[in-house]
Formats: sequence, C-alpha cells, structure tokens
Amino acid sequence: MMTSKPMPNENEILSEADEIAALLPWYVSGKISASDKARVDTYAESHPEVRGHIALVRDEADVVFADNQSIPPPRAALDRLHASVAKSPRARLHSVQASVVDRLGTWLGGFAPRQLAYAGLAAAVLIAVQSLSLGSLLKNQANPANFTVANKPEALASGTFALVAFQPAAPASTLSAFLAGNNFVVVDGPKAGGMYRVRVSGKVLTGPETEAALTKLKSRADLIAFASSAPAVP
Amino acid sequence: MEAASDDRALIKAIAGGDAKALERLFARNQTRVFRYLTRVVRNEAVAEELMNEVFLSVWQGAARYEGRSEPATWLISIAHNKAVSSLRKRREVSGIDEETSTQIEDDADTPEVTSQKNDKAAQMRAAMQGLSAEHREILDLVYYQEQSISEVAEILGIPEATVKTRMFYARKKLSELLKARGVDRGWP
Repeated sequence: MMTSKPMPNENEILSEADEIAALLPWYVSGKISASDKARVDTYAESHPEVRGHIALVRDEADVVFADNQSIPPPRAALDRLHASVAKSPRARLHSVQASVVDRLGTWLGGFAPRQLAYAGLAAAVLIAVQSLSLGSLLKNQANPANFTVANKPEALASGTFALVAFQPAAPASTLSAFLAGNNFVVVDGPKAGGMYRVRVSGKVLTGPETEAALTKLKSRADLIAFASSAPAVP
Repeated sequence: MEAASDDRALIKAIAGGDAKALERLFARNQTRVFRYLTRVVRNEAVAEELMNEVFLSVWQGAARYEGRSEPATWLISIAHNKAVSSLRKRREVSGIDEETSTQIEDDADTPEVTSQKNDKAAQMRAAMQGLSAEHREILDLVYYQEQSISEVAEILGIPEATVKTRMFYARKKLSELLKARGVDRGWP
C-alpha cells in the first residue's frame, strides 16, 4: 500500500559512495542543485566507476520514459471534464456571471420596454454576485453617515420608487454621497435576486419626472448598473 | 520555465472563474497527469476517472494555489493524493494490497515477457513491474516527470533525505530483481 511515511531502511545513513549514487538520477535529469552537482563531479574525478553508474541510470530513465510515452492520452477526457465542471456549483455561479455581463451589454445598448423584464432579471442576478461592496452597503444601512437609507417605516410608505442594481466595484462612500446628494433613499433590499428598492422622491412624480430621476441614476454608470421604475407598492 | 509561467497565469485565471483557462491547462497537462496516474494505479479507466477529479479539484481550488511550487508539481501532487486515496479504497474493497498484487503478477511471467527475456530494456521493464508501488512511483517522478528532490518531497509529503534514500533503494531493488533474472548490472 502506498504511504507517505518513510519505508524500512529509508532513515538509514548512507555511505558517501551511496550518497553519491543516490544523487545520480537527479544528476542525469539535470534537476539537481548546484552544490549537489559539484559534489558528484568532485567525487567522480577520483572514482571513475561513477561514469559507469551514470550509464545505468540513463538506461533506467530510458525505459521509464519509453513506458510512459507508450500510454496514449484518453480521448474523451475533455468532454468528461466539461460535464463535471458544468455540474459543479462554482460553474453555475460563473455561468450566471457571464450571462449577466452579456445581458447587461444589451441593456446598455438601450432596451425596449418589452426587454425590461429580461434586463431586470439579469441585473437582479448581477446583484447576487456583488457580495463584497453590497455587503458593505447593507451593513452601512445602520450608519446614516455612510449610507443614505430610510430607517423609519413611515418614511417609506409613499413616493416614487426605482428598482436599482449597483455596480459591483462601486465604492460605498461614493455611492452614498451620490444617493444623498440626490435625495435618493435605499428603502429595501436586496430583494429576490438581489435588487434594491430606492425611493427617488417623497412625492408621486409624473412620468417625465420619474424618467428624469431614472436618467440621473443611469448617468452614473460607474455606480449604477441598472435602474427602472418600480411600483409604489412593493 | 516559460511553460510554468503560462500555467501559473492559467491557474490564476481559473481562480477567477475562467473555464477556457481550465481547458487550456488541461490540454497542456492532461498527458503528463494521465500517464502518472496510469502508472501508479495501473488501470487506465481508474486513471481517467482520477484525472477528471484532479482537474475538477483545480477548477474548484485554484484560488488556493499559492504559486510557491511549480504548476506541474502542484498538479502531480493533487494526482498523487487522488491515487493514494483510490488505492486505499481498492485495497479496502478487494482486500488485496497493491504491492502484493504486483508481486503476484511478477511471479508469473507471461508468454510475452518470456519471449522478450533477451531484450535488455524488456528485462528492466519486467523487473520494474516487481517493484513496490512507492518505488515505481518515485522512478516515474524523477525519470519521466523530471521532478527535483524538493519537488518529489512536496508531492509525496516526505523529507528530502527520504526522497533520496527511497530512490536509492528503489534502484537497488531493481538491481536485485534484475539479478534474479540473470542480469548483473555490477551495482550495488
């Protein structure tokens, strides 16, 4: 049975000749330290039999090399690996990320209203992988100095709302300043899929006013990945 | 060194979730890993299964690669652990030790081996079949995988001094097995 423990005899101290013999395989392969190589060279100068021993090592290496070379690589191994990777949890996460990036690109190109639902879904998934920066944002909800958030339920009851996804790399301090500077308030989130509900005004805005607020959000593409209007009642 | 550098970059990309990088790392290293596993577990179907596990482990654990060892050493190290685990399970199921199994095979020369007895390489090849799994493995690690003493130590999880003595005794045993076959190498 294979083991990582020393086998019998392996802790014995070798004679100098045996120590040199022990180094020869690496001397031949070239994978030897400069000091060990010099040791072998010095020893070989006064012990010519070492040259014959090196020839034995080369014979062994030739056989091992030939035996290995005779083993063909498996043919369908990559397909098998693909299947295994696809089943792994990590693959699912990354395929979601790739999908989100693709969809986000489409969204940035300008989407029609009918596409809104799809883009919204993509952005929602995006939020799910924004763990670091959004995690800090959520923690900062309790700290008005860092993040603009309504902490009184009655303040959230009315107004005009947007569904927002934040950029993963958006610095929390910059984002907080932007939201506070525009009286935007994060009132809820992350919702299913990770979207955040943001109150863009305490009043019920008209259509053009709502569009203006959304345009303001979207104007900061470095902070906001997605924004769309949201119903007054979540 | 350039290949190692490329593999390092691929492992870094894999840690970031780049599946294409995994494919490239696989393409560059599958033969080396598969041959190592086949030689250790002596079963191509099992070796293929284990190789799949090796690269799946790379996919899931690339972030843990710290870059201190060569990528090839890291991969073979993972393969070694998979092989040891597989052989242990096989032993538990069958009750037959890999080493014992090896000796049974060696005692009964096949007609093919008998007909090749005059061939020097074939003699050595047959004698190598009589080595223990540990001794066969270290010969492969040094002669085919071209691992240094410190790299073998890392793969096997043993001290460098033990690597040297294990290789020494593997070769000594090989000489004994050859002698039993009528081939005196003049060493030791």
